[in-house]
Amino acid sequence: MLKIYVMLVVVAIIGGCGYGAYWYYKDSQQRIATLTTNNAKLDGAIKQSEAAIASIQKDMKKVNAQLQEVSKDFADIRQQNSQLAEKLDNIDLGILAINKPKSIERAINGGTKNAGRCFEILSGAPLTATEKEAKDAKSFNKECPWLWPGNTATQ
Amino acid sequence: MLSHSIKNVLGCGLAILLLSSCSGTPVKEIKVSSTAVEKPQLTLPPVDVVRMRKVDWTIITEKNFEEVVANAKKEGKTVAFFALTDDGYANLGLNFSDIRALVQQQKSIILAYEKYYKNVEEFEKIKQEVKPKSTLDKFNPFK
Repeated sequence: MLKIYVMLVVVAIIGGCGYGAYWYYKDSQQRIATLTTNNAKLDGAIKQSEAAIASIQKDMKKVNAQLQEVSKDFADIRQQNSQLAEKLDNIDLGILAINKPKSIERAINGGTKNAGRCFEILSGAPLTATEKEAKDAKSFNKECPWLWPGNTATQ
Repeated sequence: MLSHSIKNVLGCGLAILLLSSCSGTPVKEIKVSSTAVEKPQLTLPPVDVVRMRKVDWTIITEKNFEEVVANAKKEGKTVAFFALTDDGYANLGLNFSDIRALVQQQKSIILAYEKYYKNVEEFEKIKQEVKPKSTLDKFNPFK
């Protein structure tokens, strides 16, 4: 009778150990599977992040290029805009008008016409034959020579 | 007593059968995929072309005042002049120059936006065009 009890205890212990080993194996496999999935997900996330960073860096380069271009344009425009102020600073329009009213009248009427034409060109008006045939920026339009199509530098 | 036991066993068996049949049905995995949809292209009309009206300046000094008035009368114009001093005229010119600069700056900004966003689209287009064709595609008359 005692033998039977001992046997039962031994069988129970062996069974318990077997079950424990089985549980440990199953649990480990599950952990490995979870970790493998996590790893794959992390790999994917890293690749996505790298792609996003590369894309942002590329876009940043474009942003910087455009910023530099616009800043250069603005500097040119400011320089062009200061030309009239400089011209007016160097002359006394009142005295000139008293001494040569007719020629100054012609000059300011021509200047006004040219300045108006600058706005027309800026709004997209087609160039006249004279403007198309202009050999240089000054003969194109004295008020906005930089709009000459053949212009490569700020006038 | 025996029939009661049989009923219990059959009842339990039925319950187990019902429950096990649910567990036997495979659960389909839901697959969710997302596709980027392109934004519609923004198409805007061009600005109206400006046509500047003719403006004639007349310089009036103490000396030519009478002559200018006489000429205006002769030409049938109303003898009323909207005058500016030399400083006023210079300021008017400078104001116009500032407005012109503003228009140019705005144009430059619009061009930069255009370049920036069109670059992205063109890059995508180039990527599509650069894709090498297979030998089969080269001889395919329908492609």
